[in-house]
Amino acid sequence: MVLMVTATALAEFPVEQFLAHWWVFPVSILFSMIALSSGVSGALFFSPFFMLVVGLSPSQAIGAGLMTEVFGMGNGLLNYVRQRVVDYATAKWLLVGAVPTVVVGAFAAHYVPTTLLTILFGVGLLGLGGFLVLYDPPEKCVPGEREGKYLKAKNSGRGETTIETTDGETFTYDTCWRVPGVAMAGVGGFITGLISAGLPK
Amino acid sequence: MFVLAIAALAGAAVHALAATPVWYVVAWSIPGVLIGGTVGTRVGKHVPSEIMEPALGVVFTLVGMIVLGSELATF
Repeated sequence: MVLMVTATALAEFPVEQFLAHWWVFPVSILFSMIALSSGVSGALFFSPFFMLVVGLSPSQAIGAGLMTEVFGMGNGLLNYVRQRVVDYATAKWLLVGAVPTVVVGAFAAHYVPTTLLTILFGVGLLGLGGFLVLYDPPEKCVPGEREGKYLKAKNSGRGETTIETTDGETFTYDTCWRVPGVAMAGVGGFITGLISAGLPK
Repeated sequence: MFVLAIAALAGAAVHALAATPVWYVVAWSIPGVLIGGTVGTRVGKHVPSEIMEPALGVVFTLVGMIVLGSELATF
């Protein structure tokens, strides 16, 4: 039964279209090199490329961008897990906010009018471009330097988080109030599902 | 990156189930990102972020303007 389904799927695969798009391969190598070296989401490169150059519809381009991003990030993710540098205690809370909303956003992308989706994507790119140009890179930021009194009070007294890596390095930092992180992960997750960008920033 | 990878997986799964994925494109992009990602993690540490991030910001701004311009031109 599995063999029959596989054979059917292979028989229906559009071989001519596949061969005609060979040039996507070298472009993908270039985009992923830039994405991994800069830390920016790979789907931000692929989605506009799939829309403007390959000619896919916005929802197809966003879906293809997300699928490509999953494989592109998978290698990096496995390395981080092996090195034990993942803060699972924080990550699980961020996932509580991000996963349900990314599912909702991904479904919504197929029902939002194409024009609106494209405009949202363009506006998202403009916003991200402005953010990258105007804001300092993470290495130049001091954690908590822009906190107001309210957030400072809320972030105090929550203990510390310690990460011990496989090569003996230890990272210790204050555990923050989870609610803003979960809320932002939820908003970012929805936007990521909708237009494939938003969660990292 | 851990959270983003899991969230992207969830989003990609929804897109794969809700619509017909364009496998003839993704079949080229996935091997490309596996190769480029391996090289990118080695190259990245040599490129200062104070150069890379503003440069990418300019690129994304230009692409955003092209995407908006091409869509608004159809009105």
